[in-house]
Amino acid sequence: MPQIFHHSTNALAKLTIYGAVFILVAALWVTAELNRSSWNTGQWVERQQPVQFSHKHHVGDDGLDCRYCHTSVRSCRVSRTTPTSTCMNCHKQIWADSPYLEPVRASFRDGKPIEWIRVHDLPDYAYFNHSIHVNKGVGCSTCHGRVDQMPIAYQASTLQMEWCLGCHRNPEKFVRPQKEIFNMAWPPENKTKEEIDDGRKLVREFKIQPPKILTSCSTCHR
Amino acid sequence: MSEDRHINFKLMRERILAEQSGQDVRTPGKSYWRSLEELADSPEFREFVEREYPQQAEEWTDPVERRTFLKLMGASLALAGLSGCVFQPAEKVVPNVKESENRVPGKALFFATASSLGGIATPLLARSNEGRPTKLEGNPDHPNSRNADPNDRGSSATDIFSQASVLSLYDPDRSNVPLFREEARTWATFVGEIRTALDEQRPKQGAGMRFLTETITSPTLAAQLKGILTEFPQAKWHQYEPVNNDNARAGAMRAFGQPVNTIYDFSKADRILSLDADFLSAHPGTLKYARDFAARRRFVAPVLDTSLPVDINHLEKKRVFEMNRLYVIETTPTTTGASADHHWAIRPSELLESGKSDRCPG
Repeated sequence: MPQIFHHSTNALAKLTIYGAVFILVAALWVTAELNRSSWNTGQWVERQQPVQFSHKHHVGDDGLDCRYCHTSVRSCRVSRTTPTSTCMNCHKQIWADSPYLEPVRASFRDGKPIEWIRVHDLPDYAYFNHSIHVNKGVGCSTCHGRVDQMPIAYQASTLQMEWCLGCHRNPEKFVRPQKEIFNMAWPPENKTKEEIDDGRKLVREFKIQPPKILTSCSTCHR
Repeated sequence: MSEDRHINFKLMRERILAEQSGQDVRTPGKSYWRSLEELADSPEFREFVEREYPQQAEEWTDPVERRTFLKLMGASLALAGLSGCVFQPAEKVVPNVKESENRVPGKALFFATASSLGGIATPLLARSNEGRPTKLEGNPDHPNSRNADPNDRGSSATDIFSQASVLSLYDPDRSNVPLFREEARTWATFVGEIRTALDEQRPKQGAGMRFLTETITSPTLAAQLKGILTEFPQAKWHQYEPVNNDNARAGAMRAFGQPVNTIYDFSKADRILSLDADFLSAHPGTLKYARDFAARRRFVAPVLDTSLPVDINHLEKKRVFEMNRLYVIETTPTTTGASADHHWAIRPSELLESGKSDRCPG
């Protein structure tokens, strides 16, 4: 009785078994990469706004402080988007006839608010409070990136839970002195040993809770 | 239900007759029955009892079986979960055009105000979230919320009427526009119509015109109404409250010879007699009364220890006074009655006699 299977079948069987493992691992890797990609997180994606507003021009070139527009960032949960009247403080006088600013003037004239598109949109099941972060040494650029270099604002971080936990587990790597909070050029992460030692001091100074509390579920999922 | 009743009169009659003649041997001793059908004990009734719920009994002849149904429902629920796997739609941020002063999103603002009940105002702090009044509490800085003690920090207590009156500030069911016979009109239309009506009244000096309001003690509102009355001298202004103080005012008229409102000062009262008056919880101005009353219930022994700081000594000495004593004769249980040292529950018909009598009721 002849052999049913040819000799080459052995190799084929081995290849299939190893291949299955490889395909499984590859599938998991692709899923993980897709999940972290900007396609899923919205990172780096520039949001077109109703007004062609450039943070690069206002912050980088003109040197406006973040708090001129985002007034409530130190005192409350949201860093309020600026009311139209704040735009008009300057634009009554400069670029008062610019066609780019017509939506702003129209809003001020008609009393209809400008509907900005939210750039950093956390899921609704995550609680976030700007004031506690800003008051305890987390600078704007740590999460929002170099806003002074963004002609059109985009989401600078993944805003995924692992990204939040990166800092909540090791706050000393990210905190900065209180006077540098609004400094865009300050390095977003403490990397050298000296910087991390300074960070530890700041963690004590700001009385930042230990990681056990910072990573507790109900800290963010209330 | 009529088709469920299977009364067999013939059987029933036989059974009753058999029982009367002592021939019924079905059950030894006395037998009980709950309905005539049971007494008759017909075969139809037995079947009825066995089926228990003949009307509602479900016949499992439905083409959709229970298992199929559960399978379908399980699948639809599982698929419904998939609807969560979508990207969040772009969210909008809509700031105000002109920002109100002191307004910080997410932070409440507090405004000092007052709500009036029967013409007596209760000082309040209104909490406003994003421009909406959401909660009313007492204003501890108002003299009405403080007692005679200069160190008193004030109370933020309110009564049920003030708590409920938040809806008169912000009622989602209330119309935002003027209504004319349930149809929406603009304010301009309303002003136009009322102006025409007033112009018609002008030659008559407002004869036949009536204003009906609640008790108004607000000086501003009263001055505005008086302004209308000087413009229309013939018009009349009526103040009415469904639950009012008219009897108390009539009593004051007899006692003092002029219409006066009685305001009690419980901080000075050593003996208090309440004749069916729930002054601790249901009267206008009840908060002040309750606070003054309670202040006189705290008995503090004289402090002679000079090692204590001077101001505390001073405070403790000031607080030493005789406790007040509350006598309540009432017809229905109230908070005031529960706080009384001496309490008599009587019939409403007996109240008048108790008031006149110089002896305790009962």
